[in-house]
Amino acid sequence: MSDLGLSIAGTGLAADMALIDTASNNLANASSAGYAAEKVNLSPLTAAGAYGVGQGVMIGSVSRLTDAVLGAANVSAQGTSSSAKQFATVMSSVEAIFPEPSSNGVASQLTNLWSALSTLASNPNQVGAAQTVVGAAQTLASSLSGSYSQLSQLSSSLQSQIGSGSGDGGLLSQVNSLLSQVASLNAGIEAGPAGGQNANALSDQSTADVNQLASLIGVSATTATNGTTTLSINGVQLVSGTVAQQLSVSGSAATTNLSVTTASGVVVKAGGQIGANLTAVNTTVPDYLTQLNSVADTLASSVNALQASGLDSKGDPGSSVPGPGTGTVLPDIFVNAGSSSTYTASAAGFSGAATIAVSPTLLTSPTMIATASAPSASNANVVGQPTLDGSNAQKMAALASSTTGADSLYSTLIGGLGTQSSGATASATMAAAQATTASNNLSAVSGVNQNTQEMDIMSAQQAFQASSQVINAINQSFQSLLQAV
Amino acid sequence: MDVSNLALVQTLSDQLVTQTNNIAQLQGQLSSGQVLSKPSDNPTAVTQVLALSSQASQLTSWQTNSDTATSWLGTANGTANSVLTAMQSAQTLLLQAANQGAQDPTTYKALGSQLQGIVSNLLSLANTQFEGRAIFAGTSASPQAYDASGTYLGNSDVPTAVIGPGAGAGQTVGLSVPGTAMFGTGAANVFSTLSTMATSLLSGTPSSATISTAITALAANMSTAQTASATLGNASQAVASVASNLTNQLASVQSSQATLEDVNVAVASTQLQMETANYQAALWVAQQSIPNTLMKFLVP
Repeated sequence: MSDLGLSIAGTGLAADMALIDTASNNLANASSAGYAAEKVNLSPLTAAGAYGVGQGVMIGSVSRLTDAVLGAANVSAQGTSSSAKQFATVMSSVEAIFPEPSSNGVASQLTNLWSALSTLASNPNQVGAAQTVVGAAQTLASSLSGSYSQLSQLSSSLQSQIGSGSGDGGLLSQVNSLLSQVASLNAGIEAGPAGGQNANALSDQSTADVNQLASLIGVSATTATNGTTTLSINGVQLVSGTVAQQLSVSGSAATTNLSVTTASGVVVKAGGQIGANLTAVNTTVPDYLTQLNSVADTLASSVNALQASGLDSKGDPGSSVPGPGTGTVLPDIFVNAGSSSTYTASAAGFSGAATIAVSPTLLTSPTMIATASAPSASNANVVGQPTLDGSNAQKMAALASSTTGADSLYSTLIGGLGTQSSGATASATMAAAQATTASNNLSAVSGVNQNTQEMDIMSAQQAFQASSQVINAINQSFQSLLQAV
Repeated sequence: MDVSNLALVQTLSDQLVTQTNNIAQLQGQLSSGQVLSKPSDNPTAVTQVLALSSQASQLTSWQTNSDTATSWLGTANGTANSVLTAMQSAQTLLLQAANQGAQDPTTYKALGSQLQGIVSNLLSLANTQFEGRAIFAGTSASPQAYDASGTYLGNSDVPTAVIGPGAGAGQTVGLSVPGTAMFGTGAANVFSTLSTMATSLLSGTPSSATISTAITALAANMSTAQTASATLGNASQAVASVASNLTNQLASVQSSQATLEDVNVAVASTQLQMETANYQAALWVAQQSIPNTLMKFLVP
């Protein structure tokens, strides 16, 4: 006790400064990603000798305030929310491709075609009525093929958002660099202060990275006792200690087997934004493409079948009308673009909706629509003889009310799309609310509350003043002693 | 539980975003007048609207067809009346020729030339056109139903229009009758009957047997024409009743569509006011709570 307690007051000053510094650092990082509030752990310095007083205060450590359970819950909630949000965005992009209900959607273009055919049925001799039918058919065909190509483009842009190969500038390359970053942060955290690094700052950085990974690919995280983070997705370990896996994209959108795999080829059940994109590319978009194909196939086959079995107003026969075998034969109304006179329905690897178009022959001679029925016992039509019978066009117009027709299939598509999209929005809203709750729960432990920090600063400031007063008192005692000598 | 300032700000800003979205949606509805702007707004209502608008379009087509049918049948009915009148005149002439016994050739010739006039009048009535089509030529593309000699150029089919739902193409109505149903078939048609008689009268010495044969034949022709005229009249009435039905149905379909699709201005504007009030309240809360920390009260 040679310094009359100066050293005790000194430890107090140092501890108070540490408290103020920590509070100040907390305030400064109140908005930093991944930052957990820090707390100074103080302990008394033990007395020397059996009856001595204590020797002041010791700064034990500065610890991060965090909770492993809440932290893991937050990571998983962020992943789910990000995935749901991305899927809702994809669904609203799909919806934007089908502008319904409106006057320029496929539904109203279908009704336009049927009413044009109905008008033609009453006026088979009017070229204008035939041109209206051909125009309506052309608009419809280009809407169908346009919607198909927009959907395909959506799918390929979602795929390129993920990236190809090992990421290639896409989201997956961000994932890979974050994974390596977490692994190298683990190395620093493991070494700790002995390695000359502030482990708390490294842990903050690691938390920020893990949160980003959660929203990108939906990882789950566990923190070991030494502070290192282990990342996995559905049992597949991505980061363990200082080792990070590198992920790559395999498969393709065209074969609906796009997936994310580890270097050893294990398929990772990705969540987050990438998971939502994979679902959209492999399942959702192909489903709408298939439905669009069946709308186009049904339209083309039903209209073409009637076209094939009738006569146009000049008496020229459709392709299935038995005739003299010479002379003009009517082209199909709908054909695959590039093919001149027939329509091939969608099959594996071939899309009807992508290629549906109106026969070029019909575009130049719109009157080649089979308005009249084929010759039969119940009518007076004869192949090769002009007729103004409109009964076959009436049958075409009646396709409007077919319960298995293109209109009905398209309406099913729109109903399903609306339901799926509103469901996706609802899930996104719910997941976002859950993510907010999880984040608030974690924030209650790790977050920085300015008021608390300011109180900490004030109490440290008062303690600092008190310790200073102690030094002052010792100083005065010492002065008095010197004068007395 | 400790609430960090970051969490507080995040919660408030999330709330503001949600409220702004609600306000934007209501404003969109009010400015477009439509509740449904995309399928997910109300999937059930959207599919119903699609079905209703397709139904409305069909009803409109049927309405257009029934208008066409009304015009065709109007023309056909008018022509049929003139045909019957002309036939009656011919009958009067024939009875004149028969009743007065042997007459001098001049009278017969005068009657013959009158009869020829009636024949050519009937021929021109038979070739009546509507929108460029000979109405009594069936579904034939021939611009004339009868040539100058009274030979039928058309066919025996009836042009039709679909005016309502039904099996196959729907409920059809005949727009006219083939010439053969109105004027008789082949050598028994009214032109042949009357031309033969006219030639005979013009010779100045028709036999009374010829005249009475012609009278019998003309009576048969008139009965045929009357039947055809009745068919046309019935078709007209059927079209008129279907047309008024179509108008009612279309009105009801359009009103159901509007109920689903159109915005209820009163409800939407009340909701908008409520959302705006909520939004203002949230802004007020943000303004009051975010800047208020202990520091504000401690540091003068």
